[in-house]
Amino acid sequence: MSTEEILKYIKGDASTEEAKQVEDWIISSDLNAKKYNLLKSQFIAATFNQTTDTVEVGREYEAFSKKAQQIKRIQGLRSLLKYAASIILVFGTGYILYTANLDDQEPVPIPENAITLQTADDKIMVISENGTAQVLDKQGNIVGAQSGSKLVYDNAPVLEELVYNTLTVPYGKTFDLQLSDGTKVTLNAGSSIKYPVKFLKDIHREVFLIGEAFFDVAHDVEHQFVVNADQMDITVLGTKFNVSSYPEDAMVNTVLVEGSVQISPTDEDQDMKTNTRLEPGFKASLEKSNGQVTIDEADISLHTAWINGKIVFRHTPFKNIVKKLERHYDVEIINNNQLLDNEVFTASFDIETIEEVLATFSKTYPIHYQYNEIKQLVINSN
Amino acid sequence: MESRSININANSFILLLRKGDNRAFETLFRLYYDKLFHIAKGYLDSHEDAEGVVQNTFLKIWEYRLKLEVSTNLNGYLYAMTKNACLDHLKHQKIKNNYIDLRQHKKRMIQYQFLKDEAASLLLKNELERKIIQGLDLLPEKCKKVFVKSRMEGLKHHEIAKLMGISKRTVDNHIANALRHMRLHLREFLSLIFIILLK
Repeated sequence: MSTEEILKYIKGDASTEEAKQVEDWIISSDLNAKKYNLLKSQFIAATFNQTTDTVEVGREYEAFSKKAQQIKRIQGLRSLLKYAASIILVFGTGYILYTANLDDQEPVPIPENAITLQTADDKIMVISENGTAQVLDKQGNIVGAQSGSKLVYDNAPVLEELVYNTLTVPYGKTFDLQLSDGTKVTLNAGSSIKYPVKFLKDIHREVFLIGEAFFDVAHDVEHQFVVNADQMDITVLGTKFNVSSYPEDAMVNTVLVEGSVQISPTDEDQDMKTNTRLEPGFKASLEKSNGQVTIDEADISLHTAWINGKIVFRHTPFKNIVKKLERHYDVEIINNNQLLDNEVFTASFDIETIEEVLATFSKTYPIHYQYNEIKQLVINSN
Repeated sequence: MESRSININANSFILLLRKGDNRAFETLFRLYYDKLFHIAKGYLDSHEDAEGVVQNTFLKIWEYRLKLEVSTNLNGYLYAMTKNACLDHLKHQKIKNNYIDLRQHKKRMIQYQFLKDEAASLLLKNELERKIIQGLDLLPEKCKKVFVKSRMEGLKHHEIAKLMGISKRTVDNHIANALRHMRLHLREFLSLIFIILLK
């Protein structure tokens, strides 16, 4: 079901027949329901003003006020204490049962290909891709919740100190994250991000990235948003950009989609810092071996296609393609054809399997591939 | 960064609500009614049902106002009350209509699981808070700082003057400006100012 069709239903513009189809689609799977839920909540969140314009608050308040005075009179006659006491009792018991239950759980071994969340107390939770999960603080308050492929943090809890969570996504998967300030992050395969459960009001916002992520940073002039990516710091106020900083890659790349960002090497003295400003449509590449930063014009779609599950290569050497394929498909690839390494290719893939991808390469280049006994994909020349 | 937003959770405000102060409730109502109504409408897909549910939510908050603590996050509390009222409403509807067609049944299932979706809830609750803060944040920066210090933190005018290194007359002006600005742009917050002025 396309996003447009679901939105049409949410807006109430769908015909009876279309509405039925959407409804059947929603209840046919949990995953579909989650997709609908997120779209619907986003739609409601985006349309507050429409309702505000139509409501006559004054009239509504009159209606409330009359009934409220009646309640006040009745309340004068009875004690509220009884109510309060019984409510606290019920809540209290529920809480004890709940926590006791949690403590009983045996530690479960973490599967290698699981999306995981490391919480402040160093516990590791497995995030099942289409499931639901809650992130609790030490007091047992919900600070974050997962629905399907998205984890959302609450902006309400008041914390005095920075408490970090770390989300790790294995090869072959991606995951969405919404931080407490509203910043949206999409984490690419084989990546990990460490971030505060709640940003503090007195200091700038800062997260730590290994791998690749797309950031849509919530605007806040008073709190800079800093992404620490290996040897590169990226500082912004509110903007959209992609950062790729895989440990096995030779470069740290930042591509700016909207707004403006500032790039600076991490280790330099604050006074000596060489800051580089990046304009939209440009890419900053930091060569890790010598710390050189170069700025080039960049094709944004090339760097952000992965968000929609696509892999796009444009004049890309095969050795770089191999790394991307490994991460995307979670396979190990051994290329025995050295000549191929520096050949450049232009291609884009969407829903193809890794076999279909390699078959495409073999059409234009004489290669042959097969799995060996330990499930590595071995490429040989034909 | 105390100047960023006017704190709707200020202790003085919650204490007034606990006391059952009419003007404090009117402020709360005028700040939140349309937004909670919007959310309930989204949950229940019905204008009339949403109206009733939100009215009842405010009545419940009024009835159980002593449950409000100075540490209560008002935004979270109001959102949770509204969401629970919507859940109750759906359950109640189910009991009322035992004989509904399959389509109705499906729709209800969809509404129910949407209400139960924690991530969707958080998203809405966060946006609700952002909307409220945005509204209050329309005040000019300096003005707001003085206003918050005076009316929400309870500082005397001469104390603010000393703290910010400005004359007492400037403080007076800022507060007068804050009030004028709110009157012009934020009609519904007038009552808030009244309450605070009375304190």
